[in-house]
Parts: sequence; C-alpha cells; structure tokens
Amino acid sequence: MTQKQSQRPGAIDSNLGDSSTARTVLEVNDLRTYFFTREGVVKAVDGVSFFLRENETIGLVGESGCGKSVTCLSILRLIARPGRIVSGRVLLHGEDLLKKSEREMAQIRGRRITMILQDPMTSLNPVFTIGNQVAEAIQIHQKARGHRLRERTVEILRLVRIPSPEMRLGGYPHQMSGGMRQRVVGAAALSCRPEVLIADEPTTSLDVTIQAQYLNLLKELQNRLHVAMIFVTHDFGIVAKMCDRVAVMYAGRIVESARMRELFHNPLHPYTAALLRSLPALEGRQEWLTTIEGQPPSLVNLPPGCTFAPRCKQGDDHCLEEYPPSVGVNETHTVSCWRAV
Amino acid sequence: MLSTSNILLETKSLKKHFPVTKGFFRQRATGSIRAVDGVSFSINRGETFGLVGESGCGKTTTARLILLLEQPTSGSILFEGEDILTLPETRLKEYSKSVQAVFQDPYGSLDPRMKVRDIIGEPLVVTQALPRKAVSERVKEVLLEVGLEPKSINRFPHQFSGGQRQRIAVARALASEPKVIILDEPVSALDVSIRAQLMNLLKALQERLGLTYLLIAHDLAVVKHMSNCLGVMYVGSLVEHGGADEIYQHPCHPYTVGLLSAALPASPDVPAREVILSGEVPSPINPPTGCRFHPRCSHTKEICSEEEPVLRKVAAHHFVACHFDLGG
Repeated sequence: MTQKQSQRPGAIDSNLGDSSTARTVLEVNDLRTYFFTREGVVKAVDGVSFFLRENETIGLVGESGCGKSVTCLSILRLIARPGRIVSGRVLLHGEDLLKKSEREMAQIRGRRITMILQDPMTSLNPVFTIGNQVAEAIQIHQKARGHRLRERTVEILRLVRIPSPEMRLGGYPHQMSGGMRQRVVGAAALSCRPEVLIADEPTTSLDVTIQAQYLNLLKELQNRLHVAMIFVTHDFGIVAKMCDRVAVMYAGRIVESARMRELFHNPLHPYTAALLRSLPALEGRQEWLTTIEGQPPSLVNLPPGCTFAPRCKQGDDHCLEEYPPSVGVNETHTVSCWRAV
Repeated sequence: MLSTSNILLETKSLKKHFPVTKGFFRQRATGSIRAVDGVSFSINRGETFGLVGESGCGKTTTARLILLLEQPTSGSILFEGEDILTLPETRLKEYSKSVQAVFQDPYGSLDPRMKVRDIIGEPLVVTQALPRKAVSERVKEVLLEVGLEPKSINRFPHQFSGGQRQRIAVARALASEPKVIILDEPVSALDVSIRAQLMNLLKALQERLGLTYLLIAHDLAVVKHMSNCLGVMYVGSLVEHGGADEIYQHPCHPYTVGLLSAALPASPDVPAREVILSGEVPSPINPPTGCRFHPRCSHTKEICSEEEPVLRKVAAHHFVACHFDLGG
C-alpha cells in the first residue's frame, strides 16, 4: 500500500485514453535540494518524487516558497551556490541527469528540456533582437545557419502566432506587448522540439484575457508537438484548465498527488482540502471563506513532524513527532498524511 | 451636511488626461494619455463597489483621483452630496480623514524605517492632532481590530509576514475612522492560503463598522465575492456597471463576456465559457474611434467605429455602453 506511484510508471488507467500507454519521459526520484546558508540549512526541496508521461501535463501547485521553482531548476541542474542537489535522481528516458557532465547537460538544456519563466521582460535580453534570441537555440542545437536558420526562426514564430514574423525578426522586446513577449519566449523554448517543457508561472504577469489566449496556445502546441509539460502555478483555475495530474507541494515536499479531477473532487490532504475550500467561487454566493490559520513555516530547521501539522485542524500529537509516509490510495492518488495511513 | 440619499460617494464624468511630451530641454505636449475618460458611478453607504478591468484601463487612476492624489482634468467627485473639488482647504482635511486607502503591495506601502506605532498613528497625528497617549491607545485598538497583538506596536514592518503587513495597512486605513476605504488590489500580492483570511477580515470590518469599499482588483472571483455592485472598465471608460450578481449572470457588453469567460473557474466541472478575446488592449494615447472595444469585438458593425456608445439602462440596476442588445 505504501509504495510510491512513481515507482510504477506503467500503471494502466482506463480513463486516461492513449496517454495511459505512453512512455514515461521524466522521472524525479526523492530529489533533495538544500541551501546551506549562514542561518542554517534551508531544505527547499526535501524528497520530491513524480513522473511525467509523453503528451501529459503535470501541475506543481503550492504557495510561494514551497519549492516549486527550485524543483524545476534542479531538474535542469541550474542550482547555484549556496544551494546544492544533495541526493535523488532525475531520469530523462532512463538516463540520470544528475550524473551527466556539465558539457552533456548543456546539450540537454534548451534542447530536450526547456523552460518558460514567469516574467518575459527579464527572460528576454533587451539589447538583442527577437530574431537573434529565438535563432540562438536553433543555431546551437540544430546547427542551422544562414538562410535555413532564418526560415526555421520565422516558422517557429508563426507557430506561436506572432503576426508578420518576418517583420518582427528585427524588432526588440520593448517593442512588443507582454503577451507577445511571452509568446516569443515560448517560441524559443519550443524551437528544438523538446521532450519536456517546464512552464514556471508563465501567465502570472499577463492580463486575464491575454492569459486565456496564451493557455489555449500552449495546449494546442502541446497536442501538436507531443511535449510533456510541467506547469508550475498557484492558481487552481489554471490547474483545472491545463493539467492532467496535479502534485500539491507544501514546505518542500509533495503532500498529495492525484489526477486533476480526483484532486478537486476528493482532496485527501487537509492542506489541499482547506486550500480548495478557501477559494472564492465564480458561481453562486458565499458569505465567508474558509481560512487556513497561520502561515507557511520557515524552511530553516523544520520540526521533525508533518510540516502542515501546526496549521492543521485535524492534527494530533503523532503528527508533530513524525513525518507521514506517502500512501497510495489508489493507482494514481498518493497522499502524505497520518489520517490516510 | 448629511444628505438623505443612500449614495455616499459619486463620480460624475470624471476625466484625467496626462500630457505626452516630446523634447528634452523644451518640452512640448504632443498628445495626451486619456487614462480616465468620463467615468461616472456611485457607491451606496455600507456597500462594496468592485472595479475590474485589465492593466492600464484606468482603475488605479480613478482611485487616485478620488483620493485627491491626482487633480482631475474635468468632472466632479461628490462625497455625501458635496463636490469635494470645490471644497475650501479647511474642509479637505475632513474629507481625507473619511477616505482612506489600502494598496496592493504591503512591502512597498509601509515605510521600513517606521515602527508600527508611527505607521498607524501618522494619519491621526496629521488629521486630528491628538495627544501622544491617545494616539497609542487608538493604535492598539485598531491593531486588535485587524487581529494583530497590541504589543507589536513597537516592531518594524520587516518583522511581519506579507499577510500581517497587509493587516497593518488595513489598520492604518482604519485609524482615522474613515467612511470609505479604497482597496487597490488588496490581496493580489498575498499567498493563496492567506488571501481568504484577509478577505474575511475586510468583510467582517465592513459589517461591524459600516464601511463602504471601493475595491479594485483583476481577479474576478475575488471581486465577485466581495462586491455588491460592479463596474467594468476598458481603456479609460466604464463599459458596463450594475449589480454584481446580475452582471455575472447576464453580462451584456461583449468585453464583459470575454473577461468573464477568461476567468478560470477553480473547478474542472464548471463548464468554461469559451469566448476568447483576440487582440490586445489598445493604447490610451490613441484609442480607437467610436466604441473603444470595436477592433476586438466579434459583433462589430459600421456604427461601432463611428459613434461612441453611451451607458444605457438594460435592467433596474444594470447599465451598458454598447450599440446592440447582446444580453446573454
């Protein structure tokens, strides 16, 4: 019962359609990334495991500081000092990325695994043209040059629906709107047909109507390019729209993971349940919202017990003493809570 | 002074145009940004008016005009029936005491070098010239009101978390016993699990103290939860306003329809209303002629680019600025 789902990636699920038989692209096993600061060891990611199949989107959900972004950066091995990946495995088609040399990693980043960051104004270089920046990835990874490089760049800009891409090639990021800039970032990320696309809150800086356009575009491109996606967000509306499976993170660990619908209908971890209940609904009218008292804990010197226990309404003494194991409730649903054991 | 009507705050064709200048040494105006271009709405006593719209549509400028942080180009602001733009200087202090604000970013809106005592006490010292002891009594009182401990009076903002800082900002707004609080994106900088706490606090305070809120937010679920009335802004003007439930159920303006369908329900079972607006928000320097929404609208006809629609009544408390009857 207590074995982790991630160790049985081949589990067949009738409701999932063709993707159930799809191969596992990425597997993260017991990943731990710590930051060794003067104040103490910050356990930003503390034993995170999940897997990702072809053409599938997994949502990493949680509040700021819960380790979503550090998990993503660890997959690409982009952790700078004083941070270090302490242990774990990141398997891309069975090859452990944590054992690769820096040179081999450079061949993987931007080609097999790519990333879209939150703010397009900081991820694009203001002094280079759009054409330059999108072409860079194609030039490095696909060894295209001259005429062919230009053609490929225009093609990929057209794919993300930049109007008149030939004209835009010579433009600079500041000449574009936020939505268009983020599409350029998307173009650069998808230019080499990656196997895994990590989207770290890609629509947080966009307006709602532009966000809707962008999410639809990403979904459509995923269907066309069959890329597996990790979608980092704190917005359950985006999760409901984009994700096939969801992993909820709290204080550096995944506390619950399940298929998207199941998580919404049957949240088992008190944190997930409380979070879902605390959201104001668009339909109907409610007088008071359910709140989660207190705040997320500091990641320095975490107590031994369940990290959510101090805020949990159902917790007891046992919760404060020992961290609960990950329990598989069914084929695809796991939860770390003593009440579920 | 007290008017008999239930309307507490009202704006009438409020306009704010910022000049666009060219030249470095000799600046000359080459045009203007019509940030707010003829906005009229009214807020009833004890109610919440939600102002929604995308960034750059003039929500915050409207709030700044009401707070008298900007001088309007034209139009009037009525508070308890009096035009505050024509009030003498001596009466303005009274007005600024009654209208307070909570801003988006609790990290930017609190001075890091001031203690909580001074942050919350400042409006009291400025508007009421209370003695020191009375100020600290009042500060402790409002701290309790927002759910913080009175003993935190001598701490600095950095010793608080984001949610607690926003509570301090609310306490500062409450200190001078205002009638209206302008909430400019009060929860968008906070974490999901903290948002509900603050929204409940704001609602409880409204109930207990009979406050009137002007809420500015881009999260439609938040606005819906908090507001009685709703105004939808697009490039400087109101395109639709009325009762919040009415607008959510029967949006009439095509922009409101698009905005509502872009809001993602936090549940997989609510069928998403799929009306995705194409295009982007036009610049307020050179807004489209006629209806400002016509380049993005799917119902656009000839008249839309020629004539600017005015707000007209479609139901008891529901006004829309559109040439056509598109009520859903």
